[in-house]
Amino acid sequence: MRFLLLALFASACLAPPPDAKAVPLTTHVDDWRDEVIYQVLVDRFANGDVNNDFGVQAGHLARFQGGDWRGLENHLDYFERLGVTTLWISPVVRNVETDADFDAYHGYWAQDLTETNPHFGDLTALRSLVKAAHEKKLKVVLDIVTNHMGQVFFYDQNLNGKPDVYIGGSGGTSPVTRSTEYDPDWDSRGVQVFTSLGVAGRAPITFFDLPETYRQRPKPDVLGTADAYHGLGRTLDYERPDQLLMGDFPGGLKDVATELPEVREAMVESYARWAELADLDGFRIDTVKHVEHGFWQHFAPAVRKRLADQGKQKFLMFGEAFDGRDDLLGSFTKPGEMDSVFYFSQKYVVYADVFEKAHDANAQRGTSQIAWLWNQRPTNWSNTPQPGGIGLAPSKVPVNFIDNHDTARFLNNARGDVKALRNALTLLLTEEGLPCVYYGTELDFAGGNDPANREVLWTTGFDASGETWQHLARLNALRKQHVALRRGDTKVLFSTQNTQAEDDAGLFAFERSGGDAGEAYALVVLNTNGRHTSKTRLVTSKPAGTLLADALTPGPAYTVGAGGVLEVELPAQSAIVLVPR
Amino acid sequence: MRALLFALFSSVALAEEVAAPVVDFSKGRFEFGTYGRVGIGTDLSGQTGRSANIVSHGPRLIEDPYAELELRREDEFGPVKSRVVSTIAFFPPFFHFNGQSLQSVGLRNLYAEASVGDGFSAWAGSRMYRGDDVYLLNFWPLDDLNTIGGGVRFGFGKTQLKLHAGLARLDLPSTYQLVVNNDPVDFGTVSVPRLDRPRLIESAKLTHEFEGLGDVGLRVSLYAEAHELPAGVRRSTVTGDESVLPADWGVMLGGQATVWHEKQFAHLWVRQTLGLATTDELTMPTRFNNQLTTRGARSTRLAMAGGWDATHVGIMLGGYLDFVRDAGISETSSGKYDEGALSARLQWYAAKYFGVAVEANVQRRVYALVDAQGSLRGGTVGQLSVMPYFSPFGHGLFQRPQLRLVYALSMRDAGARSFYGVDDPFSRRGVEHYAGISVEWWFNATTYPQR
Repeated sequence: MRFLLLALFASACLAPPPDAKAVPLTTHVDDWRDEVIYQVLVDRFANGDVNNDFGVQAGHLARFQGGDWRGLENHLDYFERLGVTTLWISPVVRNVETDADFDAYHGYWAQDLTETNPHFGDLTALRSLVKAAHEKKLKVVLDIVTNHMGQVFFYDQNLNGKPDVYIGGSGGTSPVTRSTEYDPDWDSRGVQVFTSLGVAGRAPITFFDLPETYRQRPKPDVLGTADAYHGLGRTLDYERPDQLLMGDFPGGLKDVATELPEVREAMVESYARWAELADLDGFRIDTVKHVEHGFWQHFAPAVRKRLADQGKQKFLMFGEAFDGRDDLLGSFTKPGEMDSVFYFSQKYVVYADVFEKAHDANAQRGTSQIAWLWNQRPTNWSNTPQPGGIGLAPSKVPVNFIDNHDTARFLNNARGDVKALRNALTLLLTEEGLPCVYYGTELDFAGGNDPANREVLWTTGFDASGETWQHLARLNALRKQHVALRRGDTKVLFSTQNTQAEDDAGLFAFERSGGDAGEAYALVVLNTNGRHTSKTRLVTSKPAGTLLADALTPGPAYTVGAGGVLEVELPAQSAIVLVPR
Repeated sequence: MRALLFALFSSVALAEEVAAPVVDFSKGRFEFGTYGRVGIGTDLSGQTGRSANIVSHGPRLIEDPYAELELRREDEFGPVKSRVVSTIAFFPPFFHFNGQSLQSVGLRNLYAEASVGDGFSAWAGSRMYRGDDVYLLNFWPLDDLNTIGGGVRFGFGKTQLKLHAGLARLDLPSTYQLVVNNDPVDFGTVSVPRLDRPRLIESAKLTHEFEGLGDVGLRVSLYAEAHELPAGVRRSTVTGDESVLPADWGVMLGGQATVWHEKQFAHLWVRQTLGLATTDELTMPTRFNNQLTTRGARSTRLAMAGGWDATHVGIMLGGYLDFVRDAGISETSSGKYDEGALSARLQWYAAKYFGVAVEANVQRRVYALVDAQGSLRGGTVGQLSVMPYFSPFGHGLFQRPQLRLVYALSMRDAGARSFYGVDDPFSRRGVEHYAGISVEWWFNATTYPQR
């Protein structure tokens, strides 16, 4: 009887949940080119637990909407059905809650790098998500920010001990000036104190103490000191290296002095810890071009080594440099830095100039731009895998994307042209590199710039019946089925400057074969113009008589003619993916 | 129809004829009753001493002041007894502590009750409606309701059945909202209740007192509550967006056994709640399932209290265990916790008017929250206290007033320290001292019957 009572008592007591403890680190990825990344803003994908809906204002996109890690975990089957294989989740750390009546639903206003953002869940929920994802062969990449923290302090320029926003001027002929101590303009001397008699030295950095919004001294402790920040004010000219690297980020996001050894160590410790705690598979790294190369040459190898020592290899680190200059992008892939970067140059030169403008012959650029850009990559990007990295040369694994949370959605720019979107997705999923799809693309989301491009997804009911959804799922399946589309080298067979009424206007063709794909072969042909059927003769690497079939849309076979010639004719905004029959 | 009306009229007329005695209210009386406690102390480091409790119903060694003043009118006429009870309660801080003349006052009883013989009584009004308590924890572990409503009691010899129904509608964002509309007949606006969600609580208590046990008394009660909350709509006063708050409900089932013999007694309680009844009527749940209801919430409670009084010493015991689970989907939650407290107080009646009480207690709470190592977050506090006291009316566990000097030593572990904000000295100190003075009294109050 006593034992029965004890057993009853014990069963009534709390016990740690199964996902509470850390799992041993392991490598979950074979070859990152086999992956398809799905970028998700956690607050916007699915609401799995109403109890963290603090401050939610449904329908108002600048406010929290209620999504969380539990919501993601509840819908892992959605990703499986869609065929994406890696989740890139928005930052997990605690943020300044709200600033100027905008909420930190996105996660980029860090305040405490050691705590989870309670809007999304606790460590157990994060671990549970990653574990459940791994059980379904999905990987999880975490978004991190080292360049800046949220708006955690103000510059007390008038020494009155409070943050001011003021408009100056005598009311006579003197110019009206406007200044804000939250986000003052760049000053290479450091943000200055000023009085009616002129400037008076550097303005003190004063941390807020507003616990109700987590607007307070940051953590870890080294980031809670004024010395950890440059204190030079807001970047005004991104072309000037000093401002680019040391200026505050727009919105009053305070630039961290990443050149300091103690700051570097704090960043390694803070972020490697998350990878260890949750068995993450990689980092997407924010605003890399605003941080000096020396930081990355310290951070990336240190993280790789620390994780490798615990059994995690091929930890992916890819950076975001919001810039169209291919050489600048490539500079972050030099030895000791990133495994890859977002292919922003392609976003502009290819997806914006060619695909989004399919219906405007005068605005659309020819597909020769694609070949031109791709040809630069081996020169601009590193051709050597990072030591201890993912084992792939950065030039072979650009992170391809058509839009993301910082840009207007493709459909917004393309004025709702869903055929253009689907055609762009075909290129995205068949070109060399690591494709990255922004959540909601599959559902024809068409929001404009931030925050309109950060729609709530769960209100759609996760409807998988749409044509774009089906098209993307088909492409993902195709990519999975054909190793040539994942690991093959690229050879452009055809491109053109023509965008008007010419027979071949808008056509683009490339082969994927060789390299790590061996004998596998795929030929991708796209007609990017939105107005008419285009045709051309391709000279393939296949011998005469080779039968090729469109793996995207089943139909009659294509036969390679003498000299490898293949005649192709594609309706406006369509594509074929030919593989050996 | 006419016949029906006539019959009704006749019955009323007849009733008037029968029930028209003249009541002599001049024989009635006004009664005054009170309960109160006032204390103050220091932590011996220059700050105000305060409670070290970390559980919902911790030991009452160091507790906030509180006082009730009760004024009753009691009348009796033949088998009929009636009373009108009003109780004003004062909540701290009091004027002499903070210098603020605005005092927090609550009207905790305002009801009328009448009985006819021993077999029936009824009441209606606003009432604290309580059963027995664990004195050492200042805790009513089973029946403790605060509503506006009414109830009846039926007596069948040694068996009693009490039924009650009442409403409580708190001024909280989830229960009440006034919105502004255009005035329909004039310039300006009118305020309209857009959200009004009173909680309806029904309770039933069946008590039987067993006979034939010699000097030993035994009383057993079965108790049940039902809680219902209607659906409502809350509106954003900026955008007009409306959100639906669904209907909710819950039940509680419990029981109590009490035995006593001369100056010894023991209570044992057990209680299970489901859904809305897991949250008492003076608060609203803050954690829900994903349908925004409390379905899935539950709590299990075991509690005990006892006392033994002799010529020179007296001993009191009190304790409880609560296993509380919110309705949320997450396994880790501050709304899921286990807690309990156990307290023992020994009173030595050293002299006719003086005594010394010694108390030892322990309390522990464990949250379903885990640290980075995967361990549950729990904390424990233990206390030892010595209380020399002056009891002008002599000995007895419950003899009041009692004027005390209090010294309490509290020890909290690292887990308990982690429950406090970083600037709170309790988050840093493992040992706490309290030295103070206090007084407690009660007499002739309906809510605190003389024991």
